[in-house]
This record gives sequence, structure tokens and C-alpha cells, in this order.
Amino acid sequence: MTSEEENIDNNEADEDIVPQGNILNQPLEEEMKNSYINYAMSVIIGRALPDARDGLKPVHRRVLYGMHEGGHTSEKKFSKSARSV
Amino acid sequence: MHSGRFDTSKIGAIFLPIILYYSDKFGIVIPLIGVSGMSDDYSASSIQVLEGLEAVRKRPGMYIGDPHDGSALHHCIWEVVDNSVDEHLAGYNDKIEVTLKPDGTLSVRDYGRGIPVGLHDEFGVSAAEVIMTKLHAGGKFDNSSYKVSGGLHGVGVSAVNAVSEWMDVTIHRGGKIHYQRYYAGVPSSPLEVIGDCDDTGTTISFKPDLTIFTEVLDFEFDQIDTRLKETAFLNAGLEIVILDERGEEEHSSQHLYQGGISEFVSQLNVTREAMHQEVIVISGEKELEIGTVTVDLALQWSSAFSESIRCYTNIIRNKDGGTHMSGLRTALTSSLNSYAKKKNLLKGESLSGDDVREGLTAIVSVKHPDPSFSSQTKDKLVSSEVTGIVQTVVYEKLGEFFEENPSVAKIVIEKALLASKARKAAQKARELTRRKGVLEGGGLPGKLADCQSRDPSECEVYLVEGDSAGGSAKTGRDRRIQAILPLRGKILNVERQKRNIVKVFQNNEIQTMIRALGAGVGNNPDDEGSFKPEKLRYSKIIIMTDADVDGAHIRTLMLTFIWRFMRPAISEGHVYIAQPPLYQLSKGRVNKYAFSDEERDVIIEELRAGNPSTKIGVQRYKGLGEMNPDQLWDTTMNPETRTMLKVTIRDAEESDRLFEILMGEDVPDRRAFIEKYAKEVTNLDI
Repeated sequence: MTSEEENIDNNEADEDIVPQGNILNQPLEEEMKNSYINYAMSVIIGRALPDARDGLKPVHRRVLYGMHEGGHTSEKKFSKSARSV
Repeated sequence: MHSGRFDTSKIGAIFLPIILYYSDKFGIVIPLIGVSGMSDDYSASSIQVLEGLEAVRKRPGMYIGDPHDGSALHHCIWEVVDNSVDEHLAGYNDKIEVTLKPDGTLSVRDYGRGIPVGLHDEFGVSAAEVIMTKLHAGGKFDNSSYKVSGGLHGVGVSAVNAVSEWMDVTIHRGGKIHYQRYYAGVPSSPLEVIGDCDDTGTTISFKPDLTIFTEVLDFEFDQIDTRLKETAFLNAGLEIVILDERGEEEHSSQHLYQGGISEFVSQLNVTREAMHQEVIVISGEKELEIGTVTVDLALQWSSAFSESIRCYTNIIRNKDGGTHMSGLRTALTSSLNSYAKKKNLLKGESLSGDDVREGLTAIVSVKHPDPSFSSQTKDKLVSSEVTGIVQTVVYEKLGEFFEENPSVAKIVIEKALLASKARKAAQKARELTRRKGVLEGGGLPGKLADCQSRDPSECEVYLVEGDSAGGSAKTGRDRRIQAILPLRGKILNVERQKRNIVKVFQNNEIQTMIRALGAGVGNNPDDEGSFKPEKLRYSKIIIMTDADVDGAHIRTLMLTFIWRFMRPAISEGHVYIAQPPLYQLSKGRVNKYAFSDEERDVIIEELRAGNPSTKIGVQRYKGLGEMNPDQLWDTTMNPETRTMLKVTIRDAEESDRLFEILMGEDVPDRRAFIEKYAKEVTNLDI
């Protein structure tokens, strides 16, 4: 069995490598967990769930608010919805 | 282990002398290496011998694994717990308590016989002290006190002692409580009696030495829980309690399984749809000169598409498999094929190993009186006789099982035939992709902005989210060694295309990636055109997505594709994640970048320099496209200054399950996962 030898060789070799910038190890599982949970929670809180009071999702609320701000009320002139979006 | 050749030719040194320390008692040779200074004062006095535990502190990697990424830190726990498990295997211990203390210490209590406390003839100190301080000391070499044991080098606990700031050993034995404390492996006083007791057992508490471990410094409850749960499954009747006292609320978990490995398999398959109700249990043994080798297996096929085989030797997980794994694989293929042929279930070709193993969940547990592993971390079993033993046992018993349960056999074979069909279809699709590439000329996709160098070892390819960011990256890069491949939007989630793999190969973005990397596709090395890391056109594949949550999502999608179709790229360390800054902070003409919220606050303080009224512009980068090409180069792409994450594999089995949960078709698991980890969210973007 020569694993000890290899291990020592590896350690020696590691020290010889000139550090290039800064490379950190990141276990695949950690990366998947963190990235996925960030995405999933953000989507759940900020996109996917309709408000219990009026059934609006954030994106719809933003559009309506934008139209309100832009003054597109019923007595005003016709305007295309695509302009607001 | 009986050799000691080193060739570490350093500058100027003629050669490095090797000092071998013979421990004749156990017939083990420990190679110790002298470290050379500069060549001109390289003389006899510059040769050091690392005595005993000092060697462990100098080179912990050789004994307990990498001290930087947390693997060595947790390996310390396994070494201590495995000793307690060995007491269970010997028939003297039915409970282990693991406690994580708020001050970063960990203690393991078992109810075994207790480490012997009598005076050791040769060393003149207590036997316990010998075990704790001498490498290659232990009771597991001659198979008399322990028939089988996970420990075999006598290195584990003394190595843990060496890398601990302090370690306490409390032994209940013979009606007395014995106690001793060590600092960095050195006893502060001899073993002494501190009280009376009416039970037996050993408690080991230790605080890892933070001058040796870096980066990951905290024990992770989840990792410990997962691993010890496995241990409990493999030791029917052994109760393991884990108590975490660190958080505001204590939490604990308790594992006690009477069903052993068959219960383990059903548990693993809870999230999958089992193809047959009953878990197939196989066991057998063989007498060898050195003692009896026992083989225990539990198998069940589910409707999943991946295989999951876990291997253990004397209760120690061998995450890279080894001879028991290859024995099982060979026997599975041959016994299924021979049964299928006998019953005329095959049309044409025989089933391949991959087809047979699709959806298989299996546990192989081998108990061996004298196993050998590829390293102290025991990741791979290398005892060659095991292959044959496992093969014979599985072939015979599985054949018998199929004869007695023809309905199960039929289900399994039909599943394998289906897998074989799907595999052939995928192969065809893959070939089509390849040929099409050739017809279009050159084979490189049009969107790829290639680098000038043709030497893969210095080349890097950036997989960039979106064309706009791709534009900045193309302008900002070092075109000699950096290539840019812009991908549009969210790429296909390959985990959900298992029923129709052809779709994966028809997908535009995926075809582009395959052709740009130029190393083929597919994880099975035997298939034609499968992924070969040595053919990669770039040695670094760098995933560069926006610093928002959709970027995080795209990153998971890309990793899923690479994991499922180009796994060697990850396992051989070719995959990296770029770290673009989150904030730009500007005061007048000075621009600084922050990669985290904490860093942002620190830099703001710095720029203010004590004057709170100073105006500082804070810009949150939502996407790479917002950055100018030169900013992108300075912060993220310049090899001299950038920070990157290198994706590493900790446990392939666990990763596999994680991909299934997060990216797969079944919702309940994903939901449970999100509920469990919801609080750990680090970047909530509303």
C-alpha cells in the first residue's frame, strides 16, 4: 500500500503551487443547497404567492401601481397596456 | 505500507533522506520524512524526525483528511465514535451518546467495557495513555479482543488527540472512574481515579485545535446526524443519541433500528416508488485462514433512474466503494442475465450492468477480520478476496430468490429491458448531436467567443448567463486564455427529462455547451462518445451567473446538467463558480467592491474615515450586465485578483439524492427540504 507516500507527495506538491488569485473549495452539496434555497425562498415570498386579501401576485400589484402612478384612470384617454408593462 | 520511496526533489537538495520508524510489534513501517532547508546549510543537523503525534500535527492530511474543508474536523468524530461502535460489534455496548457543546467541544460517551486502565508493561504508563498517545497502538491487531473492528491501524483516536487543543478521557471500569487530560496529545498528569461508579464505559471529550483546522470550524449537526443514522442502521439494536447544546434551543435526535440494513433500504426508498414490496436480504459467509468474512446485503429496485449502492466494511462507510462493490455489480449482471435467459425473457442482446442497476438501492455490509483500505480515511476497500466472496454469495442467493419469487424477478427484468431501450435511444440522440456538429463545420458553436490559446491546461471557459453579460465578458476578458459562452436564460432542467432523455440532446443550449467543451457527453465511461475529462478544451469551466436569485437558480440548473452528463468534470475539479461583487461603493473617484453585506459595511466605514457626513454611493449589482467590461475584469475575471469557488464532491451518494430532491419530479421531498432549510436563506430578493 502506498497511500501514505502519495499523501505526503500531494502535501509537498500543494505547497509548491503558486497561489493564483484566490480559489476556495466549495462542496457541491453546499452550493446546491444554498443556491437552491435562496432561489426557492425568494420565489415563494416575492413572486409566487397571491396576497390573501386581494389575490394579487407581486408582479400584478406592481403593474397596477405603475398604472396608477402614470395616471391611467378611467376618464383619461385610452392607452395600450403594453406601454405600462 | 512496506515501502518507503520518496522522490520529492526540492531545489538544491541532493535527495531527501528517508527515516523509517519500525514498530516491530505490529510489523508496521511508518515513513517519516525529513524536511530540508536551503541547499547550502543542508547537513546532518537539518534532518528532523517527526516523532509520534508531532507527525500528525504536521501532516494531518495523511491521518484524518483535509483539515481545511471540514472533512478532517468531522473525521475526528467518526474515529472516536467508530471505537465505540467496535465495542458494540464485540457485544458489549448498546448505547452511544454524542454531545455538541456550546464552546465547540464534542463528547462521545459509550457503555462498553471501558478502555483498559492497567499499567502497560512496555511503556510503564496506563494502557489508556498508550492508546491515546501512541500511534499504532490498540487492541484490534490480533483479533482476540475484537473479532472484527472498523479500527485497524491503531491510529484513529491518538491522531484525534494530537489535533485537539485538549482532550479529556473518563473511563468507568472496575467500579472506579478514571480520568486523564491531554493538551495537544500530551498528558498533563497520569491517569487518576476520581470516584466510584457502578457502570462501565468510556467518555471522550475534545476541543479541536483551531491552529490546525481552518475555514470550517464548527461541527455540522446535519452531517453528524446523517452519518450516525447510517451507523445505527448498520448496527441493529445499537442506540445512538445526538444532542446539540449549541443553539438557543437544544435539539437532539435518537436512532435505534431493530430492522438493520433492510430497514435502511426501505428508508432510503421512502421517497421513491418501490417496484417490489419486499426488500431482498442476502447474507452469507466464508471461512478464511484469518477468520470469517461475513457479507450482508439488502436490495430493492425502485422506479428511480439512478442507482444507489452504499458499501460498508466493518460498519465503516467506503464512499468510493471497492472490491465489495465490484463483486456485487458483477454478480448482479450475471445472475439477472442467466435468469432472464433461462426464462426466455430476453430479446436479443443481454442486459448491461447499467441497465440492471438502474433504480437499484442497495446496502453492502462486509465484516472482515483483516480488511485493507486505500487510506486511513477508508474510502475504498482493496482486499481482493472480497470480490469473489461477495460475487459467489450474491449470485447464489439472488438466483435462489428469483426462483422462489418469479414475479419480482419479472418486474426487475422488465425494468432493466426498459432501461436498455432508453439507453440505446439516448445513445442515438447523442450520436446525432455529434454528427450534426461535424456537418455544420468545425463543430464549435457560433455563440462561443473562443480563446486564442490551444493549450487546454491554461484555457478557461466562462458559462455566462444572458447575452448582455456575455457582451461585457467578451470585451473585458483576456482573450488569450479566456473563452466566453453566453447561454440564454434558464437552461433545461435535465433532472426532469429522465423519461425522455432524447429531449436533453435536442435542447439548443445544451448542444452548445457539449460542443463548446468538446469532451463528449454521458457519465458511463464505456459508452462511445461519453464524457472524457482529458479531452476538455478548457481545464477550467467557470459558471458566471448574476448575483441575484435567478442567477443562483441557473447555477443549480447548470450544475445538474454537469453532474448528470459530465460528472468527471466535477470529480476531477474542473468546475468553478465565479464570484462577482454584490456592491460597488464609491466616494468621489474612488471605487471599491464588496462581495458580501459585511464587507460592504466595513468598506463604508473605511471610506468615511471617521467623517459620518461623507457621501458614499452604494450600488447593488443585480446583474453582470450592469458592470462595465473593465469592472468585470477587475473584480471577477482577472486570474491574479479574482476569488473563485472550486466545486468539490464530499459524498457522491448524498449529492445524488440532493439533486433528485431539489431538481427531480417529486414535490413532497422538495417541499420538506425547503421547509427544513427555509431559515438558512442568505439572499432573499423580493
